[in-house]
Amino acid sequence: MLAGRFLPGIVVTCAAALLLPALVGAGEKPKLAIHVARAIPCAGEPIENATILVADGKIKAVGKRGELAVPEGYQVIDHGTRWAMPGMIDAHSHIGGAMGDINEMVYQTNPELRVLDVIRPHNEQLKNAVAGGVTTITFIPGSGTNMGGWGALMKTGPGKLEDVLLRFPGVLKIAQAGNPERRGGEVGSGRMGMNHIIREQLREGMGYVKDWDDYEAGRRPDKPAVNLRLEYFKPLFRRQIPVLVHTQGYQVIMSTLRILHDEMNLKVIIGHGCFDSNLLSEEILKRGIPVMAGPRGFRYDPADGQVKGQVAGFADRGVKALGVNTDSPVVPQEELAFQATMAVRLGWNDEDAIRGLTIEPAKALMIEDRVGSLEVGKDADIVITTGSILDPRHYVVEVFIDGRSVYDVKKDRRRF
Amino acid sequence: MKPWTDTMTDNKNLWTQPWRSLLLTALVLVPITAQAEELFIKAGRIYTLDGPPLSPGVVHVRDGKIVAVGPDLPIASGSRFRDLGSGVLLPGFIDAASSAGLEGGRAESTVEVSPRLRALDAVDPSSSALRRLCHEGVTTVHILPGTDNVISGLSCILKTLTDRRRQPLRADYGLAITTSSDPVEGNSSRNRPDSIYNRQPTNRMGVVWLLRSEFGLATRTSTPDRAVLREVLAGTRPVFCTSRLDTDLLAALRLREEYPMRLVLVGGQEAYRVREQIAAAGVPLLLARVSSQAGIGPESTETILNLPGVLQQAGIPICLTGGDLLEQARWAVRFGLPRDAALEAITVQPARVLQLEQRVGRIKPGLDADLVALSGDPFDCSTRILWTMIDGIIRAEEP
Repeated sequence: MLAGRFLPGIVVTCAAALLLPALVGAGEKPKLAIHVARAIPCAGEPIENATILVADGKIKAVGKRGELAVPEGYQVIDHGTRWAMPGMIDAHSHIGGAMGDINEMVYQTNPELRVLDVIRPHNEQLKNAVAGGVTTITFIPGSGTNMGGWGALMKTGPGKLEDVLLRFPGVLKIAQAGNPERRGGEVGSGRMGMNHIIREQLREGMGYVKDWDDYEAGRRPDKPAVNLRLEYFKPLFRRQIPVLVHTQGYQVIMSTLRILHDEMNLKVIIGHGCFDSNLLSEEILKRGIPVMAGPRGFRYDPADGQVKGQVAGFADRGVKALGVNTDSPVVPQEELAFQATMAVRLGWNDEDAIRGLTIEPAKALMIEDRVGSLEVGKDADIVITTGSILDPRHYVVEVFIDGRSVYDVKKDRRRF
Repeated sequence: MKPWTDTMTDNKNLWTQPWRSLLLTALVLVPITAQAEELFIKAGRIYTLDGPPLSPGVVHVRDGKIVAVGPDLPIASGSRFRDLGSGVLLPGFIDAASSAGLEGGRAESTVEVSPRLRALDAVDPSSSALRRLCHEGVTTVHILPGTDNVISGLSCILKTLTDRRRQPLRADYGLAITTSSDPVEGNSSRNRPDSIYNRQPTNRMGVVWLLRSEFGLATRTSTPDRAVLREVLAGTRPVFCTSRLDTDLLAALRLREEYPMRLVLVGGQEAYRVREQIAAAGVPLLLARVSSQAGIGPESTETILNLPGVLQQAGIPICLTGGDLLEQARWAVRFGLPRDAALEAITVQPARVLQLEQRVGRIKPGLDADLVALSGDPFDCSTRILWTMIDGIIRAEEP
């Protein structure tokens, strides 16, 4: 993939950088021993009085303080009564670049577009994301068209593009119903037309990938012509990356399941899943599709006059692969945890809610080998809080990304 | 009329008359051939850009070319001689990214891809913008089509003021493209579906795609337009890509990785953020003017006053461009660019980038006699430009 083809960075010290704002590069990755009163690893039970060892940007060990020896050369950070949790992950965000470069609105399907060229690491909104404990986002094109293009998985912290990029292409963005409806003189003014367009475009991509797969497996003698517009369909149809779908409401979710999963055999993530979508939980469960619900995952139900939590609706019906999102800037990126708070208020349970902020989106995005839990070998993306992040009185005091402290209220102004 | 003679002392009274500038303009407009005569110019200091400065020094000019340079050349009898006293002599400045002289629109905005359009077809050699550049000491100018569309056309290289019958230095030189958001402006979608402006790109993702798509198609098919792109891919035609923000600079480098080409970056306001990557790629940068005024709109960014200094320190070959080159060089030095580098950035460096090192950019035997005479130290803001000589003829002089 393209990430591997980036130019190797060279270290240039620039003594004459007068009047230049401080630039944080990928500097030393220290060896740290972080003590907390409670660690929620999202892999096994919470650990009271825990120590987390970090080196080379990775988690080296997680264990009980006192039982886990701190090796020579580790800098000790004692966070006393504070808690640790994995860096939070938002599977649906639009703030990774300069705003305004996310919807290319001429064609209904745009598999040729990629956010790769518009990523602005650690921009002002991403700084707030860090302050809210969000360390990884899926930066995706908007839902102005049925197929907005290819998103990137990226860290929110400082660094150059190659430092923050987790995977490109990260996901394909498809939007079914709602925003892309338009009457601009081409097919796609309503849902039948839009789903027709999506299906036709995916079929074209599927055929292209099949040609290449056949060629590479020796089932076809002649080499297919390269079509740049369809190239990124290869990892999608090979099920190496998922499609993130803007989909909500019973009928639309049904067409998501039917077209994208049943017909196209894609790895699907339901993004949004609002309104009465959770009534389809059984169908969703049958297909093993994760749901990244929200933002604003609650709804006034006109049938009985109650405000009901949609996340709890999925959870009550047995969906475990469940998380929340902000669709930032629809909801500010730093308020990701607050989405879980509201879901818990309306019936979700605490443990699943923390998982829904961390390991569940990681699994849905197929990056659970890198992020989402405090486990040995994973990226040292650690959020230190004053207490449970689901309680809105508690807040983030320090954030580590890849083993480096990138936000610390002791040194930095508290942003959120 | 012999301009060289006329600017000598024998007609001094005439030249102090108020209508002198009118006459100068007339000189410019009347085709003039370089005089086959020997000229010697002595200056208190000569920055040859071809070794250490000479203090004092003499330049010998014949037939519009530099014949010799030295600390003390014997003045041939019967030749013209001018002594600048404590004045300073520099090579004529080269503005490597300019729109001076382009008339009637800087790009063809009705289409996004127009690689065969020629800047030369829209340049007015008598334009006041070119005359002004000459008065600022610029002797060679690289005129790029604008950034209203993604692939806008072919650049040309001219002397700023010269005999109009002369050929341009390069008629169809580089291909102008952009990874900025400029082409987006005016393109719409929902509001006017039946318009020609309902087209990609409507944002940066679309700009990058159009470039990738066009170069991709050019690798496989040849149309007259794609033939130009194929010259780029074959390495015979340079590409001048306007990119200001860090994302757009990286997008240009990524395009160069996907399609190897002789890339020159233009703009570079945020190049400091990605300076390691640009330096590692060895791509030169034609730096737009550093202004203390922050920009507005989608291309705005913060002002970095020492931008030239930072980039030069990072090892990026930089040229200062966009007019007022001596002022820009002074400004750059004030904030941290070394003096030598500042002079190189308006003379020999642009000559190198434009592949004109055998013609201009230094005071060196065999090169064009393009010279700028100053009243003193180039970096002293009270120093005046006395005159600008192009191909051995003074084309602009202090009023």
